[in-house]
Amino acid sequence: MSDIIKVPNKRQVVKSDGGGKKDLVQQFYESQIYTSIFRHDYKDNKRNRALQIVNNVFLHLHPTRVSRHAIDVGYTWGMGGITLLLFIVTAVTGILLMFYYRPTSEYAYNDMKQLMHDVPFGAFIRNMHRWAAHSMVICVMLHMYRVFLTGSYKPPREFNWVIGVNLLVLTLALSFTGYLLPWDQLAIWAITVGSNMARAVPFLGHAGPFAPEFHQLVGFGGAPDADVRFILLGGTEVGAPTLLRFYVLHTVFLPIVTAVLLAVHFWRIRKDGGISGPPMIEFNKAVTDASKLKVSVVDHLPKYEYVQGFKQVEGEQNFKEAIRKDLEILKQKSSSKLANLINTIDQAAEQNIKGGENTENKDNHQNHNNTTNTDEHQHH
Amino acid sequence: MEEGLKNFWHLVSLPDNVPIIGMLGLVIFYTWQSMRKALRNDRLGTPIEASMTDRVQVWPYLVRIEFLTSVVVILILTVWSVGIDAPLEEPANPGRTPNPSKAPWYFLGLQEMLVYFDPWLAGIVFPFLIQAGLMAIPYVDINPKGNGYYTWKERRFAIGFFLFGFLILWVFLIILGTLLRGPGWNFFFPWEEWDAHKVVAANSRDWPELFGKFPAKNVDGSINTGHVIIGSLSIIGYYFFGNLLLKKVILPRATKDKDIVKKLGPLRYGTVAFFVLTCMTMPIKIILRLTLDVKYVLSTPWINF
Ligand code: HEM
Repeated sequence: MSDIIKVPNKRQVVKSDGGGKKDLVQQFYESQIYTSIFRHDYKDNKRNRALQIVNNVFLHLHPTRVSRHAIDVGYTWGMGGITLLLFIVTAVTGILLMFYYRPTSEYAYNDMKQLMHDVPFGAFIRNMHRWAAHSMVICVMLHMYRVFLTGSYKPPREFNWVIGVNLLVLTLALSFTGYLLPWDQLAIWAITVGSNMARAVPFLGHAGPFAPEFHQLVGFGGAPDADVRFILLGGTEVGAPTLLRFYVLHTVFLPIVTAVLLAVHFWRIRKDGGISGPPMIEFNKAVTDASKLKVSVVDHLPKYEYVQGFKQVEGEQNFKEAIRKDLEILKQKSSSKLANLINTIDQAAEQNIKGGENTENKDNHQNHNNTTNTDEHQHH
Repeated sequence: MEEGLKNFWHLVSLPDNVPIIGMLGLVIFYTWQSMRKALRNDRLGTPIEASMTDRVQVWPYLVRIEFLTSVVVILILTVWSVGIDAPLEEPANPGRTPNPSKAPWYFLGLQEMLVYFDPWLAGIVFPFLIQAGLMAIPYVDINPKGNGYYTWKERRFAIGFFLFGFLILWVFLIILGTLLRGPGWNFFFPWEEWDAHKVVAANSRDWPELFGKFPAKNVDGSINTGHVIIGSLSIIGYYFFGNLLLKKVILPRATKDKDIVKKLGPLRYGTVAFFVLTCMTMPIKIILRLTLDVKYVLSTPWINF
C-alpha cells in the first residue's frame, strides 16, 4: 500500500485491530482521502454523530440534536424542507435550460421547441423545471398552512413568519415571471391577464381611480405609456421588452433575493430555538441550554412557556418558588448592564404569578386570559 | 352533457392542471389530519406532542428522513417529467386572444375576485391587503396558547377564520377558476358544454336600485344623490354593525373571554376588525350577486365598490 493512501494522521482516531489484515472498507476509512474530507473517523458513537453535522457546511444548518417531536413528520409535514428541495431542483434544471434558451422574441419559442424535440433530455429537463416549480408553489402554501395550524408564528417566531410571507410572494413572483418565457399563446395571455391588473393601480395605473387627476399633477400615471404597467412590461403590451425583463427577474434578481431570504429564514429558525413545540418542550430545551450556559431560563423563553413549563414541572403549588429562584440566579449572574432587563422580566413574571393566583380555581380559558394581559416577551 | 363531461375531463387532465388536483388532495388530507390531531389534543388536555420531550441526534435520525424524503420527491418528479410534457402551444400571437384568458393557476382566486370587484380593488388593493394581513397575524394574535401543537379549542377564532380564508377564498376559488370558468369567464357546471355565446343576464343593477329609482347616474348624466347616500351609508353601516358584531358577539364567544377586545387594545383590535370585515366583503358580494344580481354597492364616476 502506498504512503499516499495510508498516512498516519493526527485527524485519524481509528484504533488498529491488532495487526490483522484490514478489509477494504476499513482501509478506505483510514485513507488520507477519507480523513481529509470528513475530518473524523466513522465509528458510530455520539461524538461522531455530532461531528457529522458540525463538520459539514451544509448539514450544520441543523443543530446536532433536536427534540424528538421536531422530526415528527406528522407535525411539520416536512413541507418547508420539501419546498427547499424543490427550489434547489428548479435552480439546477433552470441553469441547464439557460444553456439552450435565448430571451428574445425571435428565438425564445423556437428554442423551446428545440428543447422539447431535439436537445437530448431537453424535454425532461424542461418538464422537471416546470413540475418542480408548480410543486414548490403548492408546498410553500401547505407549509404556511401548517405553520399557522400549529401556531408556530407566535413569539418568538413572529418575524420568521413575516419573512415567510415574503418568501411566499417571491415564490409566486418567480413562478409568474417564468410563465412568460416559453413565449407561446398560453404564456403571453396568462401574463397579459395577470399584468393587466397593474393598469388599475390607484393614481399610478392609467385605468386606475384618480389616475387622470394624478397625471395632470405630475405627468405620470394616467397614460398607457406612462404608468406602472408600462414600467413592468417595458411597453404598452406584453412584448419583446417584457420577455427580457421577466427573464432577468426570473433568472437573476428573484432567485438571489429568495436565496438571501431563505438564509435569513433558516438562521432565524435556529435563533428562535428550533422547531416550535408545546410549552413542555420549549421549557425542556431552555432548561438544558440554560444549564449548559449557566444562565437563567427566564431569558430563554417567552413568558407563557416559562410559566407553563414551571407549572408542569413543579406543580401548581410550587412553581412560583421555582420561578423566584430562577430569577435570583439571573440577578446574581448578570452584570449591571443587565439590571434594567432583569427588572422588566422580574416585574413581568410577578404579574404573571399574580395572574395565575387569581384564577387557579377557574377553568382553563379563564386561566389563559390572565396570562395574556402582558404581551411583551423576552427572547433573543 | 356528454360533451360537457368530456371537456371537463380535458380540463382536469391538462398538464398544468394536474398539480392543482394534487394540491386539492393534499389540502383535504392535511386538513383532516390536523383537525383530527387538534381534537385529540383538546380531548387529552396536554398535547400529545408534549410527550416527546427528549432529544434525538440529528445524524442519523433527522438526516435520514431528509434523505429519504428527497429521494421520494425526486422520484415522483422524475416519473412525472417522463410521463407528462410541459405544455407548449402555438407561438405567441398578440393579435389572437384566447377565450377564456386565464392567469396562471395560483392567481385564479384573485382573477375570480374581478367578477365581483373592480380591478383596482381585486387586482391591487386586495392582493396587497392579503399580504399585509398575513404579515400582521403574529402581531395581532396575542393568545399565547396553541403555540407549537395542533389545537382547535384554544384558538377557535384564529383557526376558524384562517380555514375559511385559505380553504374557501383561496383554494376553492382556484379550483373554481380552473375547472368551472369558461368562455367570457362564465360559470359552467362540469357537465355543461362550453358555449362561447352563452347569454348571461347582464347584472346592471346596483345595490341602491333595490330601494327605488337610484341609478348611479341620472338620465342627464348627473350623479344621483340618493344613490351615493344609500351606497355610502350601506358601506359605513356594514363596517359599523360588523364591528359591533365582532366586538360584542363573535370575538368574546369564540375566545370565551369577555374582555378580549380590551386586552387586544385599540390598535390590535382595529387591525383585526378591518381585515376580517374587509375579507368578508368577498363572500358577501358573491351572495349579493348570486341572489339579488347586484353589481356595485356604490358606483361613482371615480371609483366603484
Ligand atoms: C421558499 C419558501 C420557504 C421555505 C423553503 C421554507 C423552509 C422552512 C423550513 C425548512 C422550516 C423548518 C420546519 C419545517 O420544515 O416546517 C421552516 C420553518 C418555518 N417557516 Fe418556512 N419556508 C418557506 C416559506 C415560509 C412561509 C411562506 C412561511 C409563513 C408565512 C414560513 C414560516 C415559517 C415559520 C414561522 C417557521 C418556524 C416553524 C416552527 O418552528 O415550527 N415559511 N421553513
